[in-house]
Amino acid sequence: MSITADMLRGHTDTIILTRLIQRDSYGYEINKYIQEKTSGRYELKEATLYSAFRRLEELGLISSYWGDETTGARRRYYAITKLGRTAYHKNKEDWEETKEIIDQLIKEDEK
Amino acid sequence: MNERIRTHIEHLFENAPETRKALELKDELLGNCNSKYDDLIAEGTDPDDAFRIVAASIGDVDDLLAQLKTNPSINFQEREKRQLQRAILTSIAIGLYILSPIGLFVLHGTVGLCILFVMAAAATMMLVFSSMIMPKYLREDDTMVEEFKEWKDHKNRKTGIRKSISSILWISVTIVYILVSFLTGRWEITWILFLIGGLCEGLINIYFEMRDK
Repeated sequence: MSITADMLRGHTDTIILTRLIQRDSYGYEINKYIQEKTSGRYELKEATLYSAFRRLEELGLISSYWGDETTGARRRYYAITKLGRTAYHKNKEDWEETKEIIDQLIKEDEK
Repeated sequence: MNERIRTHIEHLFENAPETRKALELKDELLGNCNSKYDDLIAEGTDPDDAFRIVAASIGDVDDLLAQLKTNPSINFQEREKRQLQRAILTSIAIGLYILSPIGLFVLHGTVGLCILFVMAAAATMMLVFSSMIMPKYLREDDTMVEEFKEWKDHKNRKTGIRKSISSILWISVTIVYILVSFLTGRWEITWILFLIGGLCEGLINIYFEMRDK
């Protein structure tokens, strides 16, 4: 599992962008979404998630705002920017290509 | 709001810089951890287990805090360039002020006087311009002290612009007064222009006050 986690970590940004391209969201909700989508096989550490948020925000791929919940804790919402959408599609294409290459490379040759 | 989670997170942020960003991050983490805890409790998890799960899911915050300490670099080059521009503009303006009476010596009468006022007006405009292009005070980090400095700088800039407008106004009034008086020769009535100038200044002040509210 540790190797998988390492490989997945390299795609944290794209995973977050995937959630945000569908709708604005906040930290816990994104993590819950990741857990549900992977049937509990993968979950980000809070620290990883927030450093990704900061990085993405600095790059201008996402923006954030505080929600106006009347009850419970304050929530910081994130929204994808136009630049973020472009990055998402680019990353997805890159991944498709990488996947194809690795699939080809680790396939046993037919005799 | 679970007290144990709060204490745990406060502890994690013990060495965090006292900045707005760090405080916001703590708030965000608190909110999300509490939502998670509440969900776990709702699912029937034992409170102790729920706390352990939440605490374990936070991970290593040291990297995160290190990220907060590195500030985006302030553009010093840009600042220096502006400062040089200001210095040049101010020097030229002062030079113009000093040279402005030259018209009076070379050309006698109204023309010389006009040259004086035109030069003075140009110099004042330069000073106004240079006060406008002054780079805003950029916060070095997000502490309260820096926020205060930024606010103070903002306030100084505003009064600077106001003073400049006022000096332009009075120079223009004087120019118009002299021109109109020489051209019409009606010195007994033209002084009223100064009253109008005072009225204008009052209106400008009101405008600034209103805009600030």
